[in-house]
Amino acid sequence: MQDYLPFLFILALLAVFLRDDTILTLFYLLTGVYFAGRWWRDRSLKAVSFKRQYEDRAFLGEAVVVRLEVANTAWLPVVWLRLHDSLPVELAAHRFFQRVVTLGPHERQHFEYALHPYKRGYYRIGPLMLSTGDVLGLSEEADCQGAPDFLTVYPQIVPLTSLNLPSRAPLGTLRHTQPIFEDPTRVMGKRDYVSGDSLRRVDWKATAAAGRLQVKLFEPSIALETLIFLNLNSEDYDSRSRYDATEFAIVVAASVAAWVAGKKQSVGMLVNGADPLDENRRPPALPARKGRHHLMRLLDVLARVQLTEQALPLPQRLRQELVNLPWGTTLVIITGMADEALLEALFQARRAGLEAVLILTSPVPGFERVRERVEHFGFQVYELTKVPDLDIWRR
Amino acid sequence: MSQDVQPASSSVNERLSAVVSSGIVAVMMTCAAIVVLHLGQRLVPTWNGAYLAGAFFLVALESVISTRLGHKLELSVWPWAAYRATELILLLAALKLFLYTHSGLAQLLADLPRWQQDLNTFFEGEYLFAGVLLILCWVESWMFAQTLLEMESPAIPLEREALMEGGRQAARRRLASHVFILGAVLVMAAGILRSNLNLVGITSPALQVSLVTVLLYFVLGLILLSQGHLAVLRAVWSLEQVEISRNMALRWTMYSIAMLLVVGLAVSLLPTRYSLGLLGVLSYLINAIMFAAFYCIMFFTTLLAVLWAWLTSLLGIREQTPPVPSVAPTAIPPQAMPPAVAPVPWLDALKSLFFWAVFLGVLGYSLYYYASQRKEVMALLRRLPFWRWLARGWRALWSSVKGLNQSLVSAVQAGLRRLRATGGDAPWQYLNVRRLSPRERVRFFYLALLRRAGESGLPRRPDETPYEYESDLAVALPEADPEVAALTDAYIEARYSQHAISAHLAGTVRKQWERLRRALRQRQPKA
Repeated sequence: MQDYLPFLFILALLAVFLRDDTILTLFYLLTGVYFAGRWWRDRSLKAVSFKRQYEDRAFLGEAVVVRLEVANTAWLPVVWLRLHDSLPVELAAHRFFQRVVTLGPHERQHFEYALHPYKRGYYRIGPLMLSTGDVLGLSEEADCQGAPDFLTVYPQIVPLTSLNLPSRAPLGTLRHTQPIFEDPTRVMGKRDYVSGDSLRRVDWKATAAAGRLQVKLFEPSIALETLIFLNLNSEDYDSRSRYDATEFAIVVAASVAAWVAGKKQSVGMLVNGADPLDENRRPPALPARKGRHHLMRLLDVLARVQLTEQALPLPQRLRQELVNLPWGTTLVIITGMADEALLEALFQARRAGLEAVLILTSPVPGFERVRERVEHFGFQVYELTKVPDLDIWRR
Repeated sequence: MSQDVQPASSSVNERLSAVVSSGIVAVMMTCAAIVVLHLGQRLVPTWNGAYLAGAFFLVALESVISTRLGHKLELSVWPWAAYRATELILLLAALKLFLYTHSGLAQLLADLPRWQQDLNTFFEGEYLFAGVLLILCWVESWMFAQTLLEMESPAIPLEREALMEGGRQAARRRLASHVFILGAVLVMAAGILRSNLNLVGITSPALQVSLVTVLLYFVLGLILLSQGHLAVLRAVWSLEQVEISRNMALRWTMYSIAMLLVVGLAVSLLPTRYSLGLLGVLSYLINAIMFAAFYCIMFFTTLLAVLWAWLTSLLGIREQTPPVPSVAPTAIPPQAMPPAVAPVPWLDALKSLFFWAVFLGVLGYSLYYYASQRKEVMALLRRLPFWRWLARGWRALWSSVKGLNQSLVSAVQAGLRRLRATGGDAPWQYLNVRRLSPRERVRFFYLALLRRAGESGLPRRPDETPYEYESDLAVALPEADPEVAALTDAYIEARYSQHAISAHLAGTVRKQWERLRRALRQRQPKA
């Protein structure tokens, strides 16, 4: 506008002093197109709406197709509209999606682009920047931005087949060897009656058929109520392998949770780390529940959690949470190192009726000594630092 | 449905832009040439050069096309100079032949021997004028085309990006300068054509040059600027590797033309004539305001005088003075018009007022916007001594206007609230009972019973059920006990049942209600 103003001003003066129709009409025309262009630009921007359609959760390796719909909701056409959608570098080959389009009255246009997540996380897609201007370029461009959307990429889940988690919770649905956990609903056979057998165990039909007293044999079973305790306190990991160790810890947590849920058992999770979505940055505590829906909630949290330096020490956190856990719960503690304080806390847990399994995802110097100490307390301990190490549970 | 898009280097958009731009330049040059031809006609009234307009259109178009072709061939300096020189010579020769198509082949045969004797006769008056105009038209078209080519350059290596970016913007500014400088020349030429030039010795009458020619030039110039803006944007998008819609160029052209047409239509309705100067309008306004103020003062003074006279008559005081003759308000003299100017009727004054309001509004906002874009200008203005006084005065005026507006709005809203408050149970709240359904009628009559009974000193407690209330009413109105019971039963049925309520029941309930109303009227309210 400033380029044309001197000309307009001269026109105005000439028009007033010469009283010439032509000059005055020109003056009106030139200022009119400026204001009309500005008004059109502002109205266009207000009339544009957009919508992203995509699956907001994905596993590693899955392609996520994002469909972007841009619509002009007014009768006034949009001369040009530049779309610029920012994409996280972890998801797309290009840092952004951009187009320049023109929209007629009430016109909609659709665009698609694909995201290829290769790292777990909680990613922001967008915001979508919209910019436009007037046809003559007399005024500056105007822009606005839409709200971003988010994509959750779950961590890698390694399929496990045999995870021998100890449990003291009776009357479950998993077979067990301890006869103390006999389940009267699970009859596995019959034998002859011997003195001392309870009459309630007599199978009268089999007795009638055999002509002598027969008693039922019950299969032992346990319930496996599991609580995964994932420690992401940076002080508990070796600084050289901190990143890999914590990421692998998350993979282990996801894999164990998936296995337990697959066995139709209850699984819960506590994370001693940071959650960017929480205002206090504390991940939510997820109590033990069954079902795939609950598993997805666990995976949602595992997708987001991050290492932190502000977490409580693991033994302290463990002692805080123990009081809330029911008897017979199996704790699966995933951390980077084991010290005396942790072992003491685990011992307290055992005395409270809980079972524990300790999984160390960071290389621990003198691991054998640690194993002896832990097994002395009656727990299982594993040192797993990479995915192939999980093969022990895949045989 | 996915929109087809193409990389920015697509030739579709660029070809269309090139074609449109070339055509626009040619027509613009033609408009300019027409105005100059009219100027020539004003200087030599016997000459009519209108037939040359078409020729200049072709010359302009040829110049643009030739410039683009030369750019494509990428000629070096000398071959290029020779190319353009020969082109110009051929055009001038063609112009000479074209002139003879107007004057006739016989004239050509007659002139040929004269050229042999004196070559200067080749360049006689009309041809000289037309030749100079042709050269100007050709050169100007060439410059326009060159500038457009600079803006349309395809994507370039990144190391030259910054240089080229500045070059494109500078080319766009040059294009705007070309358009407006040439436009200013045309406007002045048109002004000269319409003026009386006796003072400079030109006695030929003024020519009414068509407004359309000059306006068409500017409209096309704006479209060209729009195309230039598109070219710059396209280059920027190309550098940033942004995909562009295939139909961008076509829609851009259509929308810019449409906008200019709409604005042109709106502009054609704005007033361009006024009979009063600005000061004349202002003095007329001031006179009108003073006149209104005088009448208001006279009215209130008269009212006070009448009131005083009435009061004194009540007190028995009779003034002996004769009645004051009524004084007609002194008419405000018409505004001081310059001599020999007839008094202006009110309609003319209104038109002038409207014109000045629009004109000053547009001008004022433009100046404000210009100043707001130039921070240094605003800083300079703020340093001026009267600026603060002016700004304070403006703020005071604006706040008083806002305050007045708010007071007005509050007063109106308060008045409306008072009206609604007095409404409440106002009798003018009319409900047509006949239009209600039977179920609604039954409920209406029961609620009317509650209201009337409450007014009669038998209100229903909020915790009372209809049957409990029936018992209370039966005690207070034993003579109306059957009606109360029947009305209560009907209400319960209408209120809580799902089946249809008959009109007969509603009619029966109405009669019961009327009897109850009479009973309540006769009852005295409890103290």
